Amino acid sequence: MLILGYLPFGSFSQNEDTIRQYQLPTITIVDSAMSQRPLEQSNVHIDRTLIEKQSVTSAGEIAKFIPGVTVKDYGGLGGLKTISVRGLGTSHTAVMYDGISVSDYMNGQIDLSKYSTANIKEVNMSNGADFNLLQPAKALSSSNIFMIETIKPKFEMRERAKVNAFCSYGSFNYFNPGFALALKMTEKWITTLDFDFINSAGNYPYLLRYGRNEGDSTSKERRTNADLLSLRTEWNNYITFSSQTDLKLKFYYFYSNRGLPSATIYYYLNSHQRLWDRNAFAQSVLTHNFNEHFTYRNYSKVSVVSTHYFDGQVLNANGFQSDIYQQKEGYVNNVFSYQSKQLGISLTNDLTYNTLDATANVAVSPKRFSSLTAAIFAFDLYSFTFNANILHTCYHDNTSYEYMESKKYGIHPFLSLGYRFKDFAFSIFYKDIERYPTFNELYYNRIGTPNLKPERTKQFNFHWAYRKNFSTKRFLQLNTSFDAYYNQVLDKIVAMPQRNLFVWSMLNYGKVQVSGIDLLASIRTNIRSVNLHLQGTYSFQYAVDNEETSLTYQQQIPYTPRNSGSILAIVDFKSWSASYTLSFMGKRYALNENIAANRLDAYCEHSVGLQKKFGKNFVLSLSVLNLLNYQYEIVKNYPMPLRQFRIKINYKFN
Amino acid sequence: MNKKTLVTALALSSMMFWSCESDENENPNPIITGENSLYVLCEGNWGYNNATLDLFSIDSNSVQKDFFAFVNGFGLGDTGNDMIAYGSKIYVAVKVSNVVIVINRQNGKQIARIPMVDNAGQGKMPSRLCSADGKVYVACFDGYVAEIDTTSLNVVREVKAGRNPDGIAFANGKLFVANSGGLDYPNYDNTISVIQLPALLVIDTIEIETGLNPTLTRTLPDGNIMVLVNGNYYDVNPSLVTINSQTNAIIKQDNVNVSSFVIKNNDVVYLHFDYTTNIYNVKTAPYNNIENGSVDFVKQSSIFSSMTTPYCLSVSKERQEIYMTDAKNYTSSGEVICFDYDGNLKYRFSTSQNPSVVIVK
Repeated sequence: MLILGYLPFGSFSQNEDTIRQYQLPTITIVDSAMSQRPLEQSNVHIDRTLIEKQSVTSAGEIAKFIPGVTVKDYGGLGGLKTISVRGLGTSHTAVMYDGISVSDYMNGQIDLSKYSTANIKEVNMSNGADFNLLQPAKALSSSNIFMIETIKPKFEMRERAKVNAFCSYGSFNYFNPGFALALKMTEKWITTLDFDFINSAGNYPYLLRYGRNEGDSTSKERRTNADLLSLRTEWNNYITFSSQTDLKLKFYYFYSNRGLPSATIYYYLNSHQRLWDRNAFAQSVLTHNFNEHFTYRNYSKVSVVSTHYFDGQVLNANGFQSDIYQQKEGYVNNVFSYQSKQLGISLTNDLTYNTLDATANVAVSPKRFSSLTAAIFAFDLYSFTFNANILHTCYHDNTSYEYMESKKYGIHPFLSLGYRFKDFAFSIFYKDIERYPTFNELYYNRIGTPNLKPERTKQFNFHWAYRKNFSTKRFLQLNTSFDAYYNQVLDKIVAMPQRNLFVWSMLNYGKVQVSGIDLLASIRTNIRSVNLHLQGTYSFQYAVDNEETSLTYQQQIPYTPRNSGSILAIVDFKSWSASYTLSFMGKRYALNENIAANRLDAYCEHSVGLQKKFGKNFVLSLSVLNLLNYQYEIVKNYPMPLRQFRIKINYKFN
Repeated sequence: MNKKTLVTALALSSMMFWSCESDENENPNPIITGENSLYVLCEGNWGYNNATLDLFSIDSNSVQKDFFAFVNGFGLGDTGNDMIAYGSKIYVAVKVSNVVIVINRQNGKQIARIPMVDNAGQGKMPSRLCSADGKVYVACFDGYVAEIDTTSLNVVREVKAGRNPDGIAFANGKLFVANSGGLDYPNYDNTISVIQLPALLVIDTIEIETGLNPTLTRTLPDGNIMVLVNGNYYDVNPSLVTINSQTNAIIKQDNVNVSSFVIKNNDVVYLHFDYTTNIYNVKTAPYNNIENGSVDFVKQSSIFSSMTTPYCLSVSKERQEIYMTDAKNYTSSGEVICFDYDGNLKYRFSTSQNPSVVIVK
């Protein structure tokens, strides 16, 4: 049982759902919280060790340790953090939260700063597809999948209740208390209540540079209007009806009130835009095993996302701008799978209904009905594995204007062929998929173009992995992977000026070509009573504009570094633990043209942490972020914080 | 490991990563300017702090991009919206940075940086400039026209015009200010405020009955005023309105698809866009007979196929030259194309993003 054989050391144990997990090398009904994917799958997994040992506050920061992922970070706790994977653009990555997608049909960007790490158990980044029979079709409809899994409690025989409470405090008035309460109500019903609150002034100092050259003017400034107040609460229920049937039910509420610090405009640092977010959803995952071959699962969700933007200093007749956007979603998936020792097949269908109501910019109140249907195949023969799926998409848009109706269909394949030899695996995959345009791209007043084609991506990937547990006297676990890929983006959706600067519209223009390499090496071992975990990643992305008529043909696309990487080191000794992280990003360009004026310099960010356990219940952590106090930017004119200190106390009770 | 060793180790590991990063040639060395050179104001892109003043040497046919930052050690700021030369100084309105930067015309050194903010600290967004009787006037998007004393280099007085002024010109002892209402899109303004000098009082407001969004405003050789009325880029077309600067009355309105214009002797030279063919052109006509007298200005029309987005026009009486800028796709390096007064191509050169105003050094 290759998959169960790899309990990640130092992290939480595997999930304890009662659903039996049928494991073959690649035919897996991976319950969504399964940590390890088959070796043939191009996947990177970051477990809770990183979160526990380092002061990493959001999923967006975890993503910096995944090769191939570029995080666009506007700085600070409240700063927007989106990811793009392997040069494909943000909207090509699906973000899943406990198995169900988090979607934004308005602009297609998921802000990962909103997913606090307080209850994140692990993050999985799957390129191409997740090898899982029981998954929603939505997960197959994106180029890549970023999966966030939350902590599920595990109860020993006599335990009835668990409490985990923490409080962090740090530089710039960062205050983050939270608790998680888990109760075994009955033998068949576990309920958890999760609460987490973040407040931060965010007024960090930075050095403003007024020129690119050595000796140019600088001034010491402080970020203003960068405050954040957010709270997240979740109520989860794990209900086991019988040995065959179980249900997970989640209720989620998120609220935030934040300043949107503007770019650091020379000579005028006045910033005053505000954003209020409210997100409430309920989701359920119901699973029923008919027998060892047949399984049925249902994923359902209802969600309301409301965003209020306010700018009190606009030189229009009103003197302000106040826009409210509300997105609603109803979602249901049914998936049915069959599996034997060598063969797995499943059929999965998603039905989604989305609406957007806006007080400004999108006047036509778009509504979208989508149906995604896929067949997934998995086949094992000797050491060969074959994984494939074929996805049928159907999107039907309605708006308050009759002529802006559209229906679009598509069929998209994914194919993967793997070979495993002992602890080694090789695989190749090919995926051809389309990203359907967002509501803004289609219907934004005057700019949107209702007849846009979807943006298409093609991915070719070669994957090699080696994973080994040496069962000698000393514990030693090696995990390495190497991916080489070639991606294409066709019919890229871009905003282009028409005739003059005042008339823009969305067009399918341009192509992108990406060739890249992702490397990961990780080692976990112990030397006497010292446990050691080291991980290094490196990515190379040659991601260029491939449109021959473009002014920037063959130049590296914006915000995509050629070179990037990370290092993670954790040392545990008795009740002490020390950690060190480095994240590196090579130079990038803020605009399409690769000229010095658009360049963002390379940076290395070092952080360290120290932890001590007191007795059975308490853990005290100290961390220093950006240890070398290095001033850098990820987004042009959005400085990242300098050195920061954090202290955290954690109390656990069983 | 002591602290020093640790820091060194970390710094070394940083350098290890850095070493594989090569650099573009930035060429910070000054160009040999010779006698004849041009300043080009490049607007840059909103939020990027990349407004620049580029210097082009006609004699050596070389450009120094962002000359201002090279000379001063700091950039112009965000969105260089307008530039005028007055006496020995250059004035640049940097709209999003909310400053007017005063520059020594001879060497490019900054003389003063005048903050354009109201009493509450809110930016006024300086937009267009003109000079008159020893003063420089700044039309600001907050609705006011500010008066800068060219000796003390301070804002001395201001007067309220209309919504989002985006054009200003001086004639007959009066300022004519075009109120665009651009930030109330699609509810544009359609008025011109007339301000009496030296009192700095609004004495009249001219309404353009058919047309919206007046912006670029220039003084004609006969002392009258010409205003570019943009329309709404949708169902109200652009036009050129001529105003009698004595009576403040509209003399005529020429319906031409114009997006920029300059005055050359007794002619108007304007950037024309044909909606049916989607073709750009530069046309010229006697300013009192535009609708009937328009002819192609550029002799070799093939020039337009080597351009992407003709953007603005400038003129130099002194050099008898017309400059057309090409904004390309608005995010890439732009270009300036120079013609003689007869429309013959003289030279062209690359600039920073969104070149708009060209003046002789």
